[in-house]
Amino acid sequence: MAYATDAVTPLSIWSRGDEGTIEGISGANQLAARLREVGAMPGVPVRVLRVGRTVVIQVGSSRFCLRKTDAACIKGMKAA
Amino acid sequence: MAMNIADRERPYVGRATVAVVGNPNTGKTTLFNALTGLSQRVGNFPGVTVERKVGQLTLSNAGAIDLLDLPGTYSLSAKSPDELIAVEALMGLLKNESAIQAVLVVLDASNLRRSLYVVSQLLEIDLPLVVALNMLDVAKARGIVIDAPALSEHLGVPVIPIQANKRVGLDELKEALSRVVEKGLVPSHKSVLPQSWWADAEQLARKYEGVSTGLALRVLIDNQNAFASHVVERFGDKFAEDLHALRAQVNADDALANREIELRYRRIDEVLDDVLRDPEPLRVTRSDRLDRFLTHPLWGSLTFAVIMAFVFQSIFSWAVPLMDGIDALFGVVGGWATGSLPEGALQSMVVDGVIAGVGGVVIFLPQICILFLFIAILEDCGYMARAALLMDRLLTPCGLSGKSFIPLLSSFACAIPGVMATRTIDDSKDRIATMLVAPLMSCSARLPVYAIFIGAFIPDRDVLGGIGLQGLTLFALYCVGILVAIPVAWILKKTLLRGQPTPFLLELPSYKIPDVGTVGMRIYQSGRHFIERAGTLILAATIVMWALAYFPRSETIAAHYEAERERLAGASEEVLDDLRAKEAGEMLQQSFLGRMGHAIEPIVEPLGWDWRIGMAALASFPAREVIVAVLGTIYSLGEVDEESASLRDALQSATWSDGRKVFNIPVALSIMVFFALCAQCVSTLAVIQRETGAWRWPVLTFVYMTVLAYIGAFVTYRLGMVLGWG
Repeated sequence: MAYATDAVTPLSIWSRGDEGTIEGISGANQLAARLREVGAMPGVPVRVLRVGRTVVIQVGSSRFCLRKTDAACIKGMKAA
Repeated sequence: MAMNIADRERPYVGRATVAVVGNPNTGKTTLFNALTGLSQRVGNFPGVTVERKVGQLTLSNAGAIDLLDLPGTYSLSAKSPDELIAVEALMGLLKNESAIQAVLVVLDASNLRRSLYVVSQLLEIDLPLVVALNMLDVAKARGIVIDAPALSEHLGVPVIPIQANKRVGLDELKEALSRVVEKGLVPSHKSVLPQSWWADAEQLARKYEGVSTGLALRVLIDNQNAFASHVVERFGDKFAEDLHALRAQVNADDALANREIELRYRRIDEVLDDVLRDPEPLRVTRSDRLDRFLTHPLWGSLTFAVIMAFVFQSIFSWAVPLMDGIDALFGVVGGWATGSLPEGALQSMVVDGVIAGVGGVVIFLPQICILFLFIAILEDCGYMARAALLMDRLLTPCGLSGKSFIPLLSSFACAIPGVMATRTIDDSKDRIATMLVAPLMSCSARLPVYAIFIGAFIPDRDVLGGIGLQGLTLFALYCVGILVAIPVAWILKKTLLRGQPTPFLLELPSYKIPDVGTVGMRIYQSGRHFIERAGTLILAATIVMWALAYFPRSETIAAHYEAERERLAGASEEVLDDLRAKEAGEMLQQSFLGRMGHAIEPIVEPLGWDWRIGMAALASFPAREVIVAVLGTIYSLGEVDEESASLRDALQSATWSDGRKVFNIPVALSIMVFFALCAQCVSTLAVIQRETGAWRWPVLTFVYMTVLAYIGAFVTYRLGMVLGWG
């Protein structure tokens, strides 16, 4: 999966309060699979609630914490 | 409690079993408690959903059924050992587990989309299904509108709106369950997965007995996850080959899993278009605002430290009146037993053995209940996940992740549910490392040991404005275990359990007011477990130790003191008491216990201990609380100070043969540090063996902890003496 557009960025570089939609999850590991299963699918609204070594993201109506390095696998498009 | 004893005797055959399934944090346990109440039986040990919990429920038409609470799961594609148990139970793969006849799935209405994923999977495993739509109040407060009848229409199964914490809608839920169980109604649902997948699964299922089409489909889709590997192992090499061939024929491996998720969510979104109106999915909730503070690197961590300090302080200060009450009660019982039993071995066994021993342990029930009260509240209100988030930062350098936090925190109550709670950790190396350090967390069984020595030897005075020195000492002892666990985990992850850093993904549920029933149930279960232990393991150990300390009765000593008493006839009561104390002391010295004690004295002397402490510590290897009981027995046999039967006074007045006091602050600290670090719990070692399936892990745990305990106690004693606390 390649993301050519500039607007699609990994959530790990988003700032606190940034909102947008998920464009995709890269990777074939269990973390990526679990993220998809809890609904982190393309088109789903997403927001970053906490930044730092451990980030908190809101996917739809659920909040998850994960490490910044792992959050890099979630690609999203920030709302203008 | 009487109800539970009766349950155990009633055979469970021929009764329907209904499994309770759902995502974590959907109020599943609250609903389970509300439906089954005190009829539930939890293996042997308390724990939220780590252990198998069964309760009874009587339905109007279907009669009595068993309700089985399964661990929370997001998906039937199991990724952790915990989820594996849930999926195996549903698929009928668990040994000694009756087949499940129906499923009650609990949904979080404020998280409907995600909750429906597992429902979509459950609709395809050929079991009758009832949906409980929980937390509608939370959803409503956020402006979310859900059309339950329409959802029911779409899914083809009953959907019952409930509020488990307020016990709303339970009758309707029971009614629906009753209908479904009685008729065995399997949902007639059209699978969202391609027909060709089902055909392939059926082809595989036909070849192997015990493999249903649903199971075959699951392993076909799940590649290399916990569940698939487990099933493959179970059905053998031939099955693995067939599966492999089939997978190669269908498609690349992970593509199926991704495709499944995509197809299911496509369908879920279609259904939700009709059923759900959520005007503002990304609204900022009260929980979010709270989290800005509570997960803040500085303020959040400080709050965490304050909460923990408060918990430990409360354990000491709140329990006092209750403990005094229990103490007085045992005093009365002891006095009554002394009066009504004839003098001799039986009286001594009941008064000095059972009452002084078991009573000394039972007195700590209030403290155990308070500890569990706090753990249950923190867990139920949703704070634990935030604590895990904050702790991830501290746990990563040790090679663990925030996921290890909840098992480790549970271990402060008891290492057994703690070790079992490691099932939520996906990575097997992280899981074993967590299990191995879990017994270093100060469990509630250590509390009696700390309480007795702190109460007797640490001055009760305020330091640091309002915080007592006693509470502070207790806090320090809890820290000892943690501080030792850090390098131990680090070394394990660098050597025996070397591996890649594992990902960490944890849901932060919305904060909620803790449910009184759920918290009460947790306290009740842990209190009951503690009393059961005191009545069985501790009682047996106490009687054995009493016998060792009482026998053999020396004729020579008895005759000698009888002659002395005759010679001093008419002397003051004081002189006679002194004489009786000397006789008891000499009797104890020559008892089996006394002789064994003197043999081990050279080993414990460097720690500042006398032989009595040494024997009590040795006797505590099966279960550490035994030390309190044994000291109670030894001192009640060795002293005849009838005025104050309390162990604390006996310890304070104990002397060496040359008249010096046995106990001072360094000795008390040395004992407590020993108990903080030592692996004195057979049940924990057994559960590590069971969970890892290998003997080397419990053996390693025992060896490293015991060695560290001895070194720690030695250093503490020497340091205390050097600092002049003696």
